[in-house]
Amino acid sequence: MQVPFTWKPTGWFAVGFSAEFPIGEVRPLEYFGQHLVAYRTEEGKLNVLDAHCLHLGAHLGHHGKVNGDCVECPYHGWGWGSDGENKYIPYEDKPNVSKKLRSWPVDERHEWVFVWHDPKGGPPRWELPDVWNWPDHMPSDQGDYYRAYPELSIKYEREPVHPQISLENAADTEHFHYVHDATVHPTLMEWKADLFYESRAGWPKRSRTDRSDGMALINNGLSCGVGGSYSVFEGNWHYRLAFFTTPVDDETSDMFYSIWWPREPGDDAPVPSPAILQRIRERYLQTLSDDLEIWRYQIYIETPAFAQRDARPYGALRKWARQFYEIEPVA
Amino acid sequence: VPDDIRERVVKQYIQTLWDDLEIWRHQVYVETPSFAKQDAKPYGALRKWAKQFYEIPPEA
Repeated sequence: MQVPFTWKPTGWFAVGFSAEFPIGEVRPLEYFGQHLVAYRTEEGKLNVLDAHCLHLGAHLGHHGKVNGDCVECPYHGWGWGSDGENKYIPYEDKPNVSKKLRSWPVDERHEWVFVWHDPKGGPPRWELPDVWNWPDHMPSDQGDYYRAYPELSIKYEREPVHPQISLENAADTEHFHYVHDATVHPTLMEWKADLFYESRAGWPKRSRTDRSDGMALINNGLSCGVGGSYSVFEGNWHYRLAFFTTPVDDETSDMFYSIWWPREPGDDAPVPSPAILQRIRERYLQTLSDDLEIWRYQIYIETPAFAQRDARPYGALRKWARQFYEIEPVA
Repeated sequence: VPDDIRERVVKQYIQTLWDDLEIWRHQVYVETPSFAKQDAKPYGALRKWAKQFYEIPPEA
């Protein structure tokens, strides 16, 4: 997919679900064209470093081991700490601290793992919002919801889709009818572009006799940078979802999608009943594969022929998104 | 070769190459490694010696 901006945007990006990184395990990752290693210490802290040992370049994520705060290289046993420094060389009395591996800032929240990516290597410049603390008028608690992983989560790997494409879904209400077979057209009610892009889209009440402008369902959307967004539904349904897209290289991305479904009062099971679970999966989790069937073959149009109602919110979203593209695209 | 000897040779010697390969497949070449003290001289000498066999420049 050709896009007029970099595949190396700045911000917080999803790299997996927390449960995919058990204590004491080491895993290779690949994002932003870089090889990474993730490892969780016995204390439960998840660390992400550049993958290749600075000694002779072995990949720490293939057969490396966790040792205390360090990941130990499978080639010569050198230990690298969570700050990226060499902490020991097993056959010498001093570590070699002449060079450091890049240590990627990690944020784990609501069963997900995020890393901060800045193409120039700078530290995080803002905090990632939390799916439970947003929006202000609907604070909630994780305990009020069933778990999202693994039953109500999905990951698509190496799809030919730039994060800007999935981001623009936030301004797009009309596609629900055509892509997702929604019977009622939602309306974009408000939007605001600041550090984050916030929007409210409503599905009008179905009854024609109801003359109020009441909405049956409102989708509160929060795009947390170009990396992804949260949606909190208000009205007839109260579920929450997160959808993030993370570039793997300059052509493909991994996509992560979770749904948190409100817990039945008094139910302390981790997941909804099988019948409800199946319905959520079919009606809501499935929608991403419908979108992907469009996005996989889409091209990016810099100057779209807009419908009247789309022009302003799309324009605002595209203008807002530019702040996260700090480097030039690869020619 | 008797089976028991063959099995031992494979396990003790041939297996070592597969172990190495598991490293090499994912390795990158580091031009200026952080060496351990004991490594710096022999590695340096080996890399310098090997240069004579690379007579043409790499393709870009």
